[in-house]
Amino acid sequence: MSREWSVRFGAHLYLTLSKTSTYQTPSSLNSSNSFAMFNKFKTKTDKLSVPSAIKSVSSVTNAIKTVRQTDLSDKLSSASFQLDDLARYGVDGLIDGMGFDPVQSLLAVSTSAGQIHVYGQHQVAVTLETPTPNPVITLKFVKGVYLVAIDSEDTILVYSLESKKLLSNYKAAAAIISVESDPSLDWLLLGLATGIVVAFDVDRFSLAPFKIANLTHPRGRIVSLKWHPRELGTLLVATTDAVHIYSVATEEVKQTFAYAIPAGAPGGGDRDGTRNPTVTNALWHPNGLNIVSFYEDNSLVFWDAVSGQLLQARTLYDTYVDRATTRLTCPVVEQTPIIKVCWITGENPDVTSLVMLGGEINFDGGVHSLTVMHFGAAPTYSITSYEKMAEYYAHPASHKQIPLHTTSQIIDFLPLPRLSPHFNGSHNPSHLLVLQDDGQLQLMDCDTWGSDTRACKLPPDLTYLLPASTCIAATEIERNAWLNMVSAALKAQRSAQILQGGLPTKRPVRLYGMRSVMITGHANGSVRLWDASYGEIDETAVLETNLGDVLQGIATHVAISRVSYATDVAEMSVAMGSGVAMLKFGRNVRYSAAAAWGSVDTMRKLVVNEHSMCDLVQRYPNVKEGLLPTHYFQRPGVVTALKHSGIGLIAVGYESGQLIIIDNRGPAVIFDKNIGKYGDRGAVTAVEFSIMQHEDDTYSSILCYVGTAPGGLFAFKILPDREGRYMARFVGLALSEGSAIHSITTLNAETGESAAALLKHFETLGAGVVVPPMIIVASSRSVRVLRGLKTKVAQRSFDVRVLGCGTVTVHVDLSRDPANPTYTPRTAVVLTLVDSVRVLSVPELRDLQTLSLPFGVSAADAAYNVTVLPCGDVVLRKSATSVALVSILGKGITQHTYPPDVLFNRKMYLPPRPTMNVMSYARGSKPLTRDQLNEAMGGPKRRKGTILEVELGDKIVAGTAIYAPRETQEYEQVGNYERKNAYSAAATRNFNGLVRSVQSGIDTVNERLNTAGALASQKADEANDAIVKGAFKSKFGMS
Amino acid sequence: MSARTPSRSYDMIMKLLLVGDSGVGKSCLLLRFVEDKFNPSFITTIGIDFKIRTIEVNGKKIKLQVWDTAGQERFRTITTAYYRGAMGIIIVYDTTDSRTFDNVENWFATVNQHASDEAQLMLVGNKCDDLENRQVPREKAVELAKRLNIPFVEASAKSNENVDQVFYELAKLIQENVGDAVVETNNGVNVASSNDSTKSSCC
Repeated sequence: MSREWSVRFGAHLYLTLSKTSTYQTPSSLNSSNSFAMFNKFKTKTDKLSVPSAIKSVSSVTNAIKTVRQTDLSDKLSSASFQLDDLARYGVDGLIDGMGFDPVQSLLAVSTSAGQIHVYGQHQVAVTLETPTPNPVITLKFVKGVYLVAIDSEDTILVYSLESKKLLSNYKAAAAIISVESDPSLDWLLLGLATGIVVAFDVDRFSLAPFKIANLTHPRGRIVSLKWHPRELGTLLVATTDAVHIYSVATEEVKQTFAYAIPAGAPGGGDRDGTRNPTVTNALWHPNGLNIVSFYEDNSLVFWDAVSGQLLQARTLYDTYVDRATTRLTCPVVEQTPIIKVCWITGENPDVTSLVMLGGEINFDGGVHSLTVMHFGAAPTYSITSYEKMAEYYAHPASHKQIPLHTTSQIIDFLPLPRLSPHFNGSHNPSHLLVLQDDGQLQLMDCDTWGSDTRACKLPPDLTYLLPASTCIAATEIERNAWLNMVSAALKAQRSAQILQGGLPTKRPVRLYGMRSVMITGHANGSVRLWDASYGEIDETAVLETNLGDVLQGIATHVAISRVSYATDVAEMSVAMGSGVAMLKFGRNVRYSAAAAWGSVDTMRKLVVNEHSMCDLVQRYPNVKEGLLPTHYFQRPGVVTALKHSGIGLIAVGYESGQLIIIDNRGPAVIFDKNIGKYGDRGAVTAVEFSIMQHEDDTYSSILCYVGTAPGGLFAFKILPDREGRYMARFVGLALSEGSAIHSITTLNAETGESAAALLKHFETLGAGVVVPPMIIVASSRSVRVLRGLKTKVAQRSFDVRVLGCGTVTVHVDLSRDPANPTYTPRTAVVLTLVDSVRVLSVPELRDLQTLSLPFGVSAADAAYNVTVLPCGDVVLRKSATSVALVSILGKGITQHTYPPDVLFNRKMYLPPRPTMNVMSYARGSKPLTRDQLNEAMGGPKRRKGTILEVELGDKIVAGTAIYAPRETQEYEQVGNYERKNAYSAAATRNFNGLVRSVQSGIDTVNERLNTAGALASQKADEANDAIVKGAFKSKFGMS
Repeated sequence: MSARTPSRSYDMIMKLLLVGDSGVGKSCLLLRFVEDKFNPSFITTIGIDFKIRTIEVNGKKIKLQVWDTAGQERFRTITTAYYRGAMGIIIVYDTTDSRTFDNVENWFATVNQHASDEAQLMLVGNKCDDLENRQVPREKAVELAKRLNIPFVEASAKSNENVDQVFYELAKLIQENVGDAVVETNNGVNVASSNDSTKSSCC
């Protein structure tokens, strides 16, 4: 029997990444001598100094009551705690607007919370406040140094990216309907509701003399304004009636494009008489030789820009819609409106695609898809005919509709160009950043038109929305172990970031042996592990596994609702609507450098049966090392509690009250019952595995504490059965409290050390160490300290909601000699309320300190929004889309302690604006020079700009400047903090020989578990008879 | 494109849909039909591909709008909207993969659930040139088509066998169905309920 157990343990790899060095491999403990060991332990147990009074249940209770409680918070005072407001992740509110500058490589987003965030390379993030609470919809980068924002009340805000300050706040005279800017021009063109076009001088913060009036009748509107992509001074102006080409130089309309549909033609809906559908938009072809205009009926009309000849009038589904047909038999199916269009180019600007948002077959009234018409290279203008151009636009090389989201509507997209900011911001985009009405983002790859959800592509703040984060948690991971874990991902992700701009302010690294790691679960099944304080390190990576990909075709509800990470064994469980998946960190032998990092071969079919474990090895994501999904247990339901213990036991609690305990060795379900069977029925809201004494036992056991919504605290003992497998047995229930229990923490009542079920404690089971129990149970209204289920030591109730609870370990100098300190660990309870953090002593629960939070904490779904880590770090969810990291053992750092990151790079130059082609010259176009344009727009009396930004902007766009490629980019080092680069130095050191250390970690833990398992098995064997008889007594709680 | 009928004007416009398991060759059939090309490498279709070709059946110019749907499960609610208004639906399976044939009945049920009752269906077994790997005997498919009461053709996008026939045949059937109904038109011309001989669909 013992052999069998040992084999089972051996078959399953366990690895630890932390503390492996502090434990020696107990290689001496093999199965042959464990009998001897056991006997030795037995003797030891007998010698345990258990008070003689502890002989019966009643005497135990009395004894405990009279024994003085060890004050685990001795010598802690209010001075021991101070708040550090370390970091914020995500954004507050919903994203309203987006803007991108490929030269500075910065991305800006505006939110409904009245903030504009500008992002650069991985941790560069600067927040600009808006003076009004109105949403900012339009964001434009101008001349590299300005960020122009226009709010819903038509206020134009100009920010400096150099000083990160608001320079100008200008209110337009009438509602702004359309806006046009050019990254190299000083002028912001505004189409006003009054039907006129005016220009705002971004460099001088005032309205320019330039004006275009009388293009439309009084009720008409300027729907679109576009600078010619190659000719300075030529504008495409679309009014609701017609589209015009306007020359700034001659102040006159050069060409007008009016779309009239004859009777009998299918365009424009109703087929009676001539129709003139309302214009909704117009764009230049990137070569400037053709234009396309869009109409209310979703038709799009291509024109020759110079001659005004109509080339092709089509809809998304039909061509030549301006020509009469004999009849129409295709049923008309309602389409969504085309709400945004972009004519994007390839590396060669003649190779183009038209990207349209909307126009799909309507299924619920909302826009959910993109339509992409890829035209390929344009026929050579000089030798092609109008007929050939008509066919070119009638039959794109590819024409597809790409669904983006089934339930959320898509409201905007932004191309992220690779090469230059020209061609209306559409020059060879790598991705489109897609915005949904619920604030979520998507990144569409412009080469494959697939959705790219990899966290490494965008700044961490935005990946919280890529897609929405559905749960957060945090854990501590030993520093070197964490560095090892991310090393392979770091290499793979280094060049993956889209944004390269900005320079982070150096912040001092908090030197801990442990790193706080944040875990986020997302709506698409992605689970991501981050360094919670990555703002202070030079380079970091995300450990990411997309269970949506892994479980494709198997699980339909993959939004992650709970995660639980077991640090010592580097294993993790993830709960989704469809079931629970287990992951472990390890090396992927199936990794292939040929396939994309992280991709999953979904062609490999998996068979899933309810109640059985599905092995996911076939679906390992293609990573060299990472969190590999091992098994999937399908069990639909709302998971309300999840715990992956450090000894391979997993508990899953459901809203229905069902409790499932899984032994990850195998893995196998060892318990599957509704806890209503043992007490009040209700959702399972908290689970904790501990190794300590249960009630009047004279030994420690593996205990599983379960808290419920009605406030019940259930205890189960985990024991090996006669086959050597674990089983769970109900052993007690503490009285109901009335409010939902959301956290259970167990401590050694004598030392204050954690009594959680960890490998190191598991090993001491065999040694017969008795851990005196202390259970700290927090519910939404109170916190209780128990010594076992029956004895309550202290209780505190609160009028406000308790959102999270945990303990911290504080190292106090008891020597009273500053020269020669001796640190002793002390423990305190940390409670998080909506606006403050309360620190209480253990076990009396007297107030030690109350720290006000500089922000509010989301009260929704408590417990899982707050994680208190033993090092004093607290991760709090502020809102659905943002998270904060604070430390209660800090020095009073605030968000303003360090200066903001550097955004603007003076050494980057704008590539020259594309020039006109020979054909336009031949046809007599007269482009303006930049000076001529400035004079035409700004008038002869334009005042001189005096601020620094004017000089910086002019330098950047100076036509003769050489465009510095990104690789050679340098920053002028300004205002940076000196810092010790301890983390990255350690990283470099540790990256060598990583595999060795990871592998030896696996081996060590594996051996340790085998040994401990063999020992347990041994005892189980011995205990078999006793179990049958029900007279069950041992240091394991089993023999 | 020049070899094809110029899409100037037309007498009818028909919306056709290709459905079936991933990898059965829907996109290849469409590419062969519209552009007379064949791409042997497997590229998963993302979203829904769309192509237009005008053909002539019974002396009428018929403009075919063909939709090629990808089988991405998570967008099923969006893609099934495209069944609406489809006049012809081609259910494709792979003659060298019996699993794709087993799924034909599922596709038939999905189509019936989302498409209009008037939609004309057709069953197509693709890759019929590959005799060596054939898993689905022709007889079995004939039997299924009979049971589902839909026409059946075996075709190969690779060898260009019966590809045009699939589309011409389907267009003819739709034309016949529609021809029975009097449809109001601008110029008062009704489509002849055509029993005329169909133009040969061979290629």
